[in-house]
Amino acid sequence: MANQKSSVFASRKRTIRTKPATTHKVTTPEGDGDGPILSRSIGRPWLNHASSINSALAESARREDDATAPDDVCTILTYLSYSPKFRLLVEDLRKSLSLPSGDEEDWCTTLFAARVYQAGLIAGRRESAEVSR
Amino acid sequence: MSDRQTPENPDENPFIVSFFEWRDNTVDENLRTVYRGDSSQRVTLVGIARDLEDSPTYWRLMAKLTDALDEARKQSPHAEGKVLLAFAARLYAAGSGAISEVETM
Repeated sequence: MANQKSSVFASRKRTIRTKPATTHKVTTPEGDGDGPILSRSIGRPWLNHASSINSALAESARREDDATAPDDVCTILTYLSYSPKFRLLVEDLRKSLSLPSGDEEDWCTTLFAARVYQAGLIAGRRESAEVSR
Repeated sequence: MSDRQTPENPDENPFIVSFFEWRDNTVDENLRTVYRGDSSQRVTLVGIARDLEDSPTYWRLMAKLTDALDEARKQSPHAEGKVLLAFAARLYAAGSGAISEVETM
């Protein structure tokens, strides 16, 4: 039970939803300590890649289930496990989940997921740039 | 990839990092870009988060994460860390695989 109390998601409730329930602001800690506001109400000035993201996740899941498909997730997992920045992202998530706004746990986790996804996008761009040279 | 340093046993403790074990790692470089992102990158981050929330596949991943964390909590904090690592690796792989689609939009 002691382990449960010290775990990252110890207070996490089973609140899996299919759509966000609220649109109010959420404060998430950042690495520089500024604690900027990251809010859903910020809008979507960036391109809406929802369908792209869903298909990319579906393809990734398909590769996970298909033993014959090449899957670099294990390699990525290894590098993440040795990444100081990933450790900091996890600590940020831990701080976010400890904030009083307990009903926004899914949003905090989704911001964490978005950061990792965005890092993957950067990796993909770099690989594409190298290939096109 | 072959010349990069890989841990001999990453399962021992996923979050322990030794300076001497740490060498070339583009995954960390890419995470650094996200971690120290400027305001425009933060806007992009929220856009991605909202798109993730619109993705049924993402919510299936979240459901799997929650179930796996429930199981891991019965074991150890390290087990929980590994679950989170697997979740993150899946997101990172999806992001790197999505680039061709995004670039053509």
